[in-house]
Amino acid sequence: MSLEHQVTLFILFVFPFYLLAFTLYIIRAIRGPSIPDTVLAIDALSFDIAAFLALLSIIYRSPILIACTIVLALWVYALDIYVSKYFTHKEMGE
Amino acid sequence: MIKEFTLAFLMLVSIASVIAAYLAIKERDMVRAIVYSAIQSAMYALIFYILMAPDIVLVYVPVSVGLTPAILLFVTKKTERYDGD
Repeated sequence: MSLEHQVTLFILFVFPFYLLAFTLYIIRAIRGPSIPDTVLAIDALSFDIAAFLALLSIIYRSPILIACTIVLALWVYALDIYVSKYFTHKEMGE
Repeated sequence: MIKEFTLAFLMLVSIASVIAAYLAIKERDMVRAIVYSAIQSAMYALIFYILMAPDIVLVYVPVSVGLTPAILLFVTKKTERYDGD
């Protein structure tokens, strides 16, 4: 069994745990009692999705797909900043 | 094996995006509806990624996760937060 095959098998073995984590995050985002809970769930979900996409780019053997993960993580952080600014000052930076 | 996994994952993400869109439409609190819309956009970005279109993902993520919620929050601040009956 070659190293490449071992790595692919390991990543496929790890995927169900990621899917379980996504399910739990989405349940928390829908049932969260307050909006900060929802936003935090979306935040954690998106960072987890970014790690998952990096694993997918290893599986598909295409390094160009890595750039999308960085952009997704940074823009979800921007969403956090927007919502927190809306709740603290009731203004959006004008 | 990888092909079957890809198709199954695509199906799951599509179902999740439909559920998020339904919740965004039915929600009365506008800020929460905006967050649901961001979930649906993230799922669409994932679909584009799985369908091997990274350039579209690079444009779609900033516009749909960053720019659209910002503009919608700005408009929500100018009007009312809760939808009337």
